[in-house]
Amino acid sequence: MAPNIVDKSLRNDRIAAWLIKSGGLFVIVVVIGILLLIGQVALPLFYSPKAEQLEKIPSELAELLESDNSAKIQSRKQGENGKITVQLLPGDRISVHQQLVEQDLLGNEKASEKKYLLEDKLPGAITALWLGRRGQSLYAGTDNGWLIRWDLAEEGEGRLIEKVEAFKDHRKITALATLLGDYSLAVGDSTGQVTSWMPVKTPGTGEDKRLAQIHRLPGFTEPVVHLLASPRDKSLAVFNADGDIRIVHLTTERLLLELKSGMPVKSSAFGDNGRKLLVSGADGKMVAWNLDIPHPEVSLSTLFGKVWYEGYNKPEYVWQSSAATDDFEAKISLVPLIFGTFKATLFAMLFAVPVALLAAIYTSQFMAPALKGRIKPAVEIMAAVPSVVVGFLAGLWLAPLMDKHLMALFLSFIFVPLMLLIAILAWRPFAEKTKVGRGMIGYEFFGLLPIVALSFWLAGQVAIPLEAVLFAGDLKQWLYSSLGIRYDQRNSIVIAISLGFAVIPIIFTIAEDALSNVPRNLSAASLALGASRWQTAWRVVLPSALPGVFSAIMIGFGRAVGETMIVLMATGNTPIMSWSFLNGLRSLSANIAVEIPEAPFNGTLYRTLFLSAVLLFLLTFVINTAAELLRQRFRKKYGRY
Amino acid sequence: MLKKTVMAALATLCIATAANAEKVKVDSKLPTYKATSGVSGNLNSIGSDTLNNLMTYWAEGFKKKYPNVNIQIEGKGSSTAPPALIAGTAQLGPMSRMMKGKEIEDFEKKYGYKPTKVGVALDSLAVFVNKDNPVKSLSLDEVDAIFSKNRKRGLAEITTWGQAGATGAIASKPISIFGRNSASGTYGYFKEHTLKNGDYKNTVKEQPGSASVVEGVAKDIAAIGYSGIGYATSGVKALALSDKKGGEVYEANNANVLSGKYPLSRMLYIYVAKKPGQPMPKVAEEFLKFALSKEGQEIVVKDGFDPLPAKVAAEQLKALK
Amino acid sequence: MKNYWKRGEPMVLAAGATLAAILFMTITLMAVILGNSLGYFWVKGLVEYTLNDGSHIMGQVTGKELHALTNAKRVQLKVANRDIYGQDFRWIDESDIKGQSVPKEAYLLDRMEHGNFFGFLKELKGADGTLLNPDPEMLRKLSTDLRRQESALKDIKKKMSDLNQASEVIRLKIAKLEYRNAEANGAAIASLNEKRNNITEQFDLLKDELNSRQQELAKTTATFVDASGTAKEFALLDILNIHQPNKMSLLDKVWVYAGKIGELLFDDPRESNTEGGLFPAIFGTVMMVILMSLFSMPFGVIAAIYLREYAREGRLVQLVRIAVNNLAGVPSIVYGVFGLGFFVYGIGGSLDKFFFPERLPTPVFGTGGILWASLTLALLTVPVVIVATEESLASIPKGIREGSLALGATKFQTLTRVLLPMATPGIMTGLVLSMARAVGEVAPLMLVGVVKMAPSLPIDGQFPFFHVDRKFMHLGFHIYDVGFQSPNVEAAKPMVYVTTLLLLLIVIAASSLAIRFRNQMRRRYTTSHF
Repeated sequence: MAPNIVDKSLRNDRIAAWLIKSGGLFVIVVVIGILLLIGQVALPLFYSPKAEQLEKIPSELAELLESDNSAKIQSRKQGENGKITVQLLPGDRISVHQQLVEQDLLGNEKASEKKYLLEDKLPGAITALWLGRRGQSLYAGTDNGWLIRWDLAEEGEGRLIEKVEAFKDHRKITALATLLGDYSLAVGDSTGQVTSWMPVKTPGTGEDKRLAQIHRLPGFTEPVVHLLASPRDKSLAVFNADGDIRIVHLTTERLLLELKSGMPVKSSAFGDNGRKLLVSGADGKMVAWNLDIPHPEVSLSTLFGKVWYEGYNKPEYVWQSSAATDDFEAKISLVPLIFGTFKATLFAMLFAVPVALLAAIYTSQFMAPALKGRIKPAVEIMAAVPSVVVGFLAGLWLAPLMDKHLMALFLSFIFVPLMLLIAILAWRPFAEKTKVGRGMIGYEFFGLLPIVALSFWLAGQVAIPLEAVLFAGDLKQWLYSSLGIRYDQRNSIVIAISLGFAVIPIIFTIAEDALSNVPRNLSAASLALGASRWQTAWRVVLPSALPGVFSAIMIGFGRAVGETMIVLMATGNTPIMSWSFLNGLRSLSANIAVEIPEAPFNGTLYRTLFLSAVLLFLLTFVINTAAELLRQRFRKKYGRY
Repeated sequence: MLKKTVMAALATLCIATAANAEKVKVDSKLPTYKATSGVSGNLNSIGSDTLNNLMTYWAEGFKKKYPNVNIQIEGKGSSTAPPALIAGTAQLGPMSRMMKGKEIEDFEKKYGYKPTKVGVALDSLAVFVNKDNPVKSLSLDEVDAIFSKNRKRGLAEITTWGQAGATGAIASKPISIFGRNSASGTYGYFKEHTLKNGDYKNTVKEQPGSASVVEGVAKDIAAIGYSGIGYATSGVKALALSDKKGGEVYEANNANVLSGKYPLSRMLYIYVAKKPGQPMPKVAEEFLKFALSKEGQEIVVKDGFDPLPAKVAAEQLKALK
Repeated sequence: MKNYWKRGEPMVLAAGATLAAILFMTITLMAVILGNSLGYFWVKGLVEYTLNDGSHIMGQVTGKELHALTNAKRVQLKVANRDIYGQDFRWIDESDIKGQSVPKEAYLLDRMEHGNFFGFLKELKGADGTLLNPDPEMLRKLSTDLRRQESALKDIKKKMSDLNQASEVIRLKIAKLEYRNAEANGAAIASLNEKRNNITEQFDLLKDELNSRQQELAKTTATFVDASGTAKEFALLDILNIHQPNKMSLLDKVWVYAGKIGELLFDDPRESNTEGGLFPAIFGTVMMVILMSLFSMPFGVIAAIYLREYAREGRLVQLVRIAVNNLAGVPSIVYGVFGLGFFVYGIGGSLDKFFFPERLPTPVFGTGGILWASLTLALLTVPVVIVATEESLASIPKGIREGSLALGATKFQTLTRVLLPMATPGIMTGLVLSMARAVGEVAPLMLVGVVKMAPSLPIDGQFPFFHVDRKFMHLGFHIYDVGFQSPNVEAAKPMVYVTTLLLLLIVIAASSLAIRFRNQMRRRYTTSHF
């Protein structure tokens, strides 16, 4: 060999090595980059709040103090254009003044005015009064720990709804305020405690909802003098007599910030849509802060724990992230979604793994080679069926079909194995005694295909009369009225089949490759030693190919966990937590797809969705890592060739 | 009880007349669209999926007038409109709800002025049941009791059709509920107006499109679902609705929507970034004029929405001046 | 018998049965799609029913079912005439039907708007307002005449489109000059403006001509009545096809069928994508997948080679391998968001800042486009390629590598001459899987460049011919959009199935090619061990 050719090929080799290394590293950097980016978007959810005292107080902020509205006279907007004013008169009587304006679709206005007095007998002297922000309800607290609630929503009429003995120790209620959304009432008392109250239905009674204590927020040890609710979210500023301020959040019960104004606070206001807080003392001195509270509604307990939300009768795991209005209490528990992901993956894998593996074993070990060349592409083409097609058919064809023929489906679970068993038993004499039967070796599944089809058909035929006899013609109705099981049109069987359909060919193809790649001499040796073809496949080939089979399952698993379109289109996206295979689910991935268009860029929901992406990633990470370690052990144990 | 029977009879009457009624006619006083010169270039629209088809229809009509205008339309939900307008990726932001305070605030931060909203059509939200369901009308109170977890309207929970007033074989069937996904303006509107901002039940099957809601209801005898009335098919039936239980029920027809008697109707908007006192890009302006013209409103009818009366359309046009 | 079980023969059969079950599922899927789509273009006969209340109704029978509660029989009729009835379909109880007939003279019209019309011809009016003899021959003659005249207008349209492009080019030039320095380039700008005004004038002249000629054409009208007697006048120009299905022979129907398939493949969509053709979507899908493969194949293969052949086996490689496997598990929607943040806003935004500052705030690359969509999908599918390539490299016995090296080949030579050819089948498997996944992924595409209606294709006659910044239409998204969002879902559903079939055919064609290629490779390179 001429030396220059050697030089050239060596040079080529070095260049190629360099290129490949840099290319490979580039891909790896990209991989890590993506992971970092996803994590980096989710991370700010957990940044701690900061406050910064303003050097100079802008005049528009100072004007806000004027409108501080928690004194003896309070007025609010009522409805679109109306106004309501309440005034605490001596002797604990309250006067109400309503100005109403009605407007129709085309913009014509009609104004009216109403005045009346509330003179109900109260259990104690009123020490705190609060008119709800929408002017719908009026709250009062007394010096002996009672809460009183009126309904002012009706025109010209105020109705006392209830008197609640809020504190058994009859402590004095010193401050009241409703939080954004006007549903929860924050109550500050003379012991320094801050509690939140809302109307709750007592289970088992037909009575109206009554105020009940829901959250205990971080308060003070000395009396609370004032409460101020944020106009931006469900947080609240709590003041004591020394001018210490604590900003707390309702849902999370988090202490967000502690501020010190250094003087007794006379009036206070949130400005800049809740991003600034301004207080002023008796002498007119003002102090203001810039509040940087990125995501007050997020804490580990709201993401993963049960929370008692507004309007609920007990603490629950809830995912309901958005609404048309800003004052909505976001419910961002990831638990139902994680549950849904597990449920979908589990059902799909239960269906897909045995089917795909057995089929791969059959194809690689027993099938006539001539046929294999045709069958494998057929299954691969199945892998090529786009998930949007599978999802579409699952949602709009399979789900209604199953809805109609549920009984047939259940029956086919019995019929298919039964018929196969019969076929298998009948096979033996046929296979051993006849010429056709011997010729069928390697082609058995051709004979089985009509049997599978036949048993489905038979199940369909038997189902209708059987359903009529056993369940009065309606299995779903029977399930509901006798067993209390709800059948949903979009349920987990649909998911298992459709997601399984997407996963099977992936597992099949890769597993089949791995099984086929086991050197023939291994199986030949085994057969020569007298093992049957199944024993060879099961005891010799499969263990040698186990690493490949394992990675096949893992890739299938990854696909099932992350599959979006099928789950999105075929389930009802119902965030319920029930293992029933007749109910639907909502998976993390479909949830991201469904919600991300709604999520304001870099908002809480947006980041929470990214957090759920990180969770998905962690989920696969743990499993993949375990699988990889196992794989290496297998490799060592069975050593490849 | 008597009242309810009368109501039901009335509702039957309404439905009978509605089925035979001619399609909605647009207001004859609407101006016809006159094409002008110098309209060319690209137009991007990003926003509501309720308006997606209408925008596509309008774009097709508009392209007939101006063969060389390029219009791209994306519709993934009303909430995608404000970010697109702010980023400048779209000149038109169709929305099936008004912008939220936060969105307007963000817009103002970028441009220094508020976005201009132009009402382009009326949409009535329908509550659909399967065509074979004997129930003809419901009150929003009952709908709330079916859909809501915390039932802010105060009725007891309704889980079977019998509780919703149906008799016969369907009475004992559990109600199967379909709804929209949260990115859709319809989801928010229904939540705000029917559920009074309560929460949906966990069992509401959130579908990624209105057509899918209708399909689900059409294939399930015990189903109920909501979407725009324009999505109705022969497999479903839109219920006549009343606000309060026992109140008078109204069909979702044009007259009831215009008079405001039908309780679930809303305006559909196109938001644009228009600097006050300055004209907007000619293409966008002409597009809006086209949408508010007679031809444009005929397209509205074609897509199953309700057209604007001439007076309202003229008022919307004023916003463009 | 005991031996039979012990030797595991039943297990072999059971394994065969699972394969049979998989094939059964695949066959069912294909059957459903074929069954629902193939009939769409077939011209079905029209049936007229007389109902008990004396009214008449005409349409195509599209379904039969039992009432869910009463088990009464009923038929679903496609009655069309959406502009008159509001809905295309109607269910009729069989008990309501008094009589039925098959009217020979009934017409089925394909219209530009509002879908089909079923009815009878009543009146024909020529362009000059004279009433003509309302018979099928006359109608056909008028219609073909009009079509011919209309196609003569194509020239004008072509000219207008050219002028418009020229004007747009000048507009961009002006914008660029103005951005650089409006004062220094004043003269140039003025001359360009003048040029542009000239073009606009010419354009307006042409447009007026076009309009007047079109109006002239629209004067020829036909009046049809539906079964119940409601009359409707159409400009004949708005009627695309005229058929009398009850008179058509089988051959006619086959001919029409073929024509409609042609329309499907080569025409633009109409009526908010529920009618007309799918050409832009087909084109967009294929181009996107090809672009994607161009990105994902080389990088995936290189990364796999690096991992398997070059990197030293250790903790790091192990970690990387896990990371790659994990990447395959990240939900596709997250890639969409990543693509939006990184490619579109990040890279695209900076490209705009450097190269097209004059066009801001209207983005060129800073918005979704086919390039970004392909890159995003390439990222999504790279792990599949990596894993498949690695697996196939790993399955090559060590002896072969060592043999090659021992014969004096360099590592690179060993790689290109020995390993890669042997691994090609595996790489092809990876490519097939990745392409299949890419074609079906809709969720991320929605964020990075797919639109419901894209006005122009990513490739056209306009310089630079290849517009990777353009948004595009995609069959998968089309399915999702029309199937889940279209208001007239009953009428649109067959179209969805047709789209599904088309998408499947494309995928299958691509996969089959790859599979075939792989099998050839395998035959050529696989060594026998035994």
